[in-house]
Amino acid sequence: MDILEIKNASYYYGDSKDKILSSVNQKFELGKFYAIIGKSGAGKSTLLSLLAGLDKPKSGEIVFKGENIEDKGYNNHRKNNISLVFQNYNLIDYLSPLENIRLVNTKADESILLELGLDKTQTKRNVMKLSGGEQQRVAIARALVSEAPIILADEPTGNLDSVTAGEIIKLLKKLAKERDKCVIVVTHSNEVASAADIVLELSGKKLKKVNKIS
Amino acid sequence: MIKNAFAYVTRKSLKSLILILVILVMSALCLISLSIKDSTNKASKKTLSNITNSFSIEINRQVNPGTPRGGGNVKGQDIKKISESGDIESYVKRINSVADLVGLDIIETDETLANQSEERAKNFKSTVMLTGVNDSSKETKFVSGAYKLTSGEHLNNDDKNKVLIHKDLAKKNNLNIGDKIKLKSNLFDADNEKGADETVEAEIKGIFDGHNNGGVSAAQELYENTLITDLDTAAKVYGNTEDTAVYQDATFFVKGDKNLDKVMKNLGKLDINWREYNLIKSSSNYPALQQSISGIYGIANRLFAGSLIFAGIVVSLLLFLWMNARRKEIGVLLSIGKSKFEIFGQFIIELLFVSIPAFVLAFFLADYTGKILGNKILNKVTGDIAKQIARQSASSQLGGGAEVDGFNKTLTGLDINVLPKSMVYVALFMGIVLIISLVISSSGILKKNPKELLIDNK
Repeated sequence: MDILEIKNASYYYGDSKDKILSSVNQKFELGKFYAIIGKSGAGKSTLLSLLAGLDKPKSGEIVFKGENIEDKGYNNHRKNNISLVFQNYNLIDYLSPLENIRLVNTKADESILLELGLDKTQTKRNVMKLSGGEQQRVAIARALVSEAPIILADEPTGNLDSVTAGEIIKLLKKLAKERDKCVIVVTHSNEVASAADIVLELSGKKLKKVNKIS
Repeated sequence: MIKNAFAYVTRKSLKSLILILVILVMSALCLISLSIKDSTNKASKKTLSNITNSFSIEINRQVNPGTPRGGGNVKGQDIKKISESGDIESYVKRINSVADLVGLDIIETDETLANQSEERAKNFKSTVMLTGVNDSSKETKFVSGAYKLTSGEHLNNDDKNKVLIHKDLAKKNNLNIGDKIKLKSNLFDADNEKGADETVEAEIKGIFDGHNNGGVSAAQELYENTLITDLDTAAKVYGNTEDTAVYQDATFFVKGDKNLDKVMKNLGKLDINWREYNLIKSSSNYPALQQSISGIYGIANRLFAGSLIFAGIVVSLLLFLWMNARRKEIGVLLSIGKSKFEIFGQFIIELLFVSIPAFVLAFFLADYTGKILGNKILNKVTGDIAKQIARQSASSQLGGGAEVDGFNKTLTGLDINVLPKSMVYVALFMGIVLIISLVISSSGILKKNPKELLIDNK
């Protein structure tokens, strides 16, 4: 079932008219794990920010469940429809892991953090005292407790060692399958791309489906 | 929102502490300035209670030379007309006359003895000045503080044949409250135009104290040789009654709801020969007092405004720097769906958490330091006024009489207390300043979309 669609979206910075994205079209379904690959500067993160409602396309639209996200507001889209995982985690530095995940769901408890491998003490410690892998788990936990149907991840394994990166990829895939989420990951990593159900390549300002990377 | 704000304030303790200190110092200065103004109000009300709502009628010396001795010759009928105009709550009228003390000695000083001629020594050996009033508590010299009642009671409208006597004169003649003295008309007094030769026996109702500021040439100018009497006594030694007497002047106290200037203006409609008189606001007899009050007000106002402006600038700069450091946080909060309103709300609550302890501490700090600072300001202001008066005195001739007492009078001390009302004002004003500072420092960042904020931090 299509949940998110990018329709004829174009984007350029400022008044340059030099497009980063040009008439991009793509539909995304629930229960699927998408990987968006492409060279540096190809516009992967820009595309993700449009899908997340962090920015708006210069032309075209982002459609959630058949409705342009602009109609109900970008803030509404960010709050209810998507959850984001960043390469640099983007956690609030003066809060604990538990407090960070409660930013998106006040009823969230520590079980999700424990499930993702943190211990009880770590859940209440300042988030900046955790390792990179632990912080990324907190970021993923924050995405999970939001109950949004779409998870958007920008280079989620970029700062992690290969073992931790592997665990995170498994986790994202599990989310797509077991929780019926639409997981869209922007990545440079072949490992991530090979784990994806659908791989999309951003090249020549367009998004194209490519054969699965093995 | 509240929990996160509390977490920020408590976990970013250095930032919070700096902000608390800035708000604390600025709020304390604002509180001190308001408290100084408040205590100045109280002190001036206390000092000026009978001055700010009153005016006097005096003779216009340009066209009316007064009595043969140069005293006032305000007609009792004119005083009556003014008192019945409808705007007057009460009034004090004053008769100045001269009489001899029978069987008693007056006070002399080396100076008065040196200036005394043989004729004067003979004719005015035991002569005293009488000031007849219907309410001695409102008499100019008591109001200005030149005289102070030390024992007994003030004279009122019902008193007849009663006097207040100076402490030193009473002591010299071994007189006490309740004793009776005899006052006899002086036939050599130029103002005794009828040649009255009356003797009045009067009872001492009170004893007062007070000394001349300047030097005197005649014994009768000494405060010690002045008796405050009821109107009848002062009139009788000139062969007059209260109704037929001429008055030195009269002071009128307007009703509380009336405007002094309007009341004085309306009196022009009365059937009185106004060419002969001047109406003078009582407060104009206290220029130094008015100067000291306005001086303190000026400093307190500048302190209040300066504190608010300084607080606004410093807090804005601090918040601006700290907001920049929170760009990523704001970007993250926006990216997870927090509205700008919620984020701004958290900042407001953070300021509230910082301000509350700052305001509480400011209350105690202002209470402790306000007394010291307030009286230093008062000393500075009165010191400047004293220098100014000294310069003015050097270039003008001020007499040694009681009228000069009001001229030099300033506030002598401020009893500074920080009132809860002042705290409410300060919290309100400081709150507005803080919110404006927050809007200034955060609006630029909050206008950006989350992507811009997150990219900046990459």
